[in-house]
Amino acid sequence: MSDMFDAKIALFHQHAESKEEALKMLADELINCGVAKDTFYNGIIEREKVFATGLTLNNMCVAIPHTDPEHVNRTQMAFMSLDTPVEFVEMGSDDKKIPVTMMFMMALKEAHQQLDMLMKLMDIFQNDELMEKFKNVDNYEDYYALIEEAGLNIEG
Amino acid sequence: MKRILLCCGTGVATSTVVNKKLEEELKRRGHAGQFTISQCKAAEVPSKSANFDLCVSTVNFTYKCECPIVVATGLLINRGTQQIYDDIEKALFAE
Repeated sequence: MSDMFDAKIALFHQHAESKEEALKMLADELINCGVAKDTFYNGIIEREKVFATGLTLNNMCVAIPHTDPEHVNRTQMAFMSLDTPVEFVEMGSDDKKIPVTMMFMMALKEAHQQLDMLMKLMDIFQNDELMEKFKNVDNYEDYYALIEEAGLNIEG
Repeated sequence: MKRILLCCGTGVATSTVVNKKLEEELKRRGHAGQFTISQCKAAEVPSKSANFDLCVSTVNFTYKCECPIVVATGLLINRGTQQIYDDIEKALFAE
């Protein structure tokens, strides 16, 4: 299996006091398994300050934190669901705050390579039924089955 | 030939998604062969935008831009897409 999920990074039903704490928990997972460099977390935080990545969907808010390829060793996607929402600023706005309950953190090594996966992810964001399943999933096995069901396991 | 500069925070993620969607929609509206799309980081827009007819950004925009700009975050998740495409089309092709 070689796709954007083979490092198996997913945290379910977590609690965090802040966006920063939530981002750190997930970024550390990516750094610890070698997918991202030590500078990745700072890159993510700096990016959120300048260009936020929160997105408002039909029934919930999500975030797609990512940063420059220089902080990344190889392309992967990490997932985290939060039982208590943390505030992100909405992408495209200056300071509109939204309550985020799921993060799809992307470690992206280069442009274009992951286009199909990204487009599919944006489609899934509009699929309320699938998003409800992502919100409820609580173990990696079911999570990966969901990735397959959603068609996200594209060879990368 | 109209030149579109597409930007996002990193120049590799959301702008890539919007690139594909925008290209398809402009072709669907009969503008095939009438435009080119380049991609960059938002921070590069001040130095690059003078050579373009329109900048389309997926992120909030605070940089200096030498050409008209449309913020198109909605294209990512299909929110208000018709209006955004109309604005882009008007900025590029309205005479």
